[in-house]
Amino acid sequence: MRTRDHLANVRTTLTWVRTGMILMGIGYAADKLATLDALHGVSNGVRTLGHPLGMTVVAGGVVIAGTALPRFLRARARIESDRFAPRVGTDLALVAALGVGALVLLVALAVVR
Amino acid sequence: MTASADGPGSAESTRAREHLANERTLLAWVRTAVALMGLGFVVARFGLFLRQLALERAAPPEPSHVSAAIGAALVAASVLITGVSTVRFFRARAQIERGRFEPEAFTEVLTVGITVVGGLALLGYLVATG
Repeated sequence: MRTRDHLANVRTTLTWVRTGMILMGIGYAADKLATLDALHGVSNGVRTLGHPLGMTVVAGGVVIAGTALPRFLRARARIESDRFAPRVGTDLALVAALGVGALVLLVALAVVR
Repeated sequence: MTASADGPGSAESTRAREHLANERTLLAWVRTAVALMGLGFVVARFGLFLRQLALERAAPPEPSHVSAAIGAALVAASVLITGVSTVRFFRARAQIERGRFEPEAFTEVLTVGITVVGGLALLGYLVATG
């Protein structure tokens, strides 16, 4: 039972890291697409929005990948001592940030066009 | 052999499930490495593409060697992570067979470290070129 708990903890940690990596990729693409727009002479509205948005998303990805480690070590210790307690703080923060991010993107896409 | 001997709670069933969980964990490692590889590829190639385009349009070119270096480092790191996690998979496999699983943290610390450092380098690059 303990073995499977530890392995599940590793997989959960990797899923967090992967989520961070995906956000980094999206943020990088958003930032560089703004540069591409600028090269093509598209309105500078996209350019001015794309850079800070992209950098914020990359920073968010770094934070998410970083938080995966303390979460992993804490869960690992708690599985060993048979006192696993779920924590939803990071999960809620992530979902809330994604919700806000999606709204910002929606508004940005509607306004900038 | 009674019905309960290979039922859900039996030692044999537990052993099988532990091996399958170990295999799923290896696949999660591989998936993580593939994601990192993809990120590195995109970073390296997109920088090169933008540099090319800037040169064609006589605009100030992107410093593409920075994005190429970050991208190549991320791809190299993904190969390293695949190797280390495969070694870990076989060690865990032997531990499950012996009935004495030892939780480790090295590969996890390494992977999070690489991802955070790579992400910060990427962020620094975006701030410098933005």
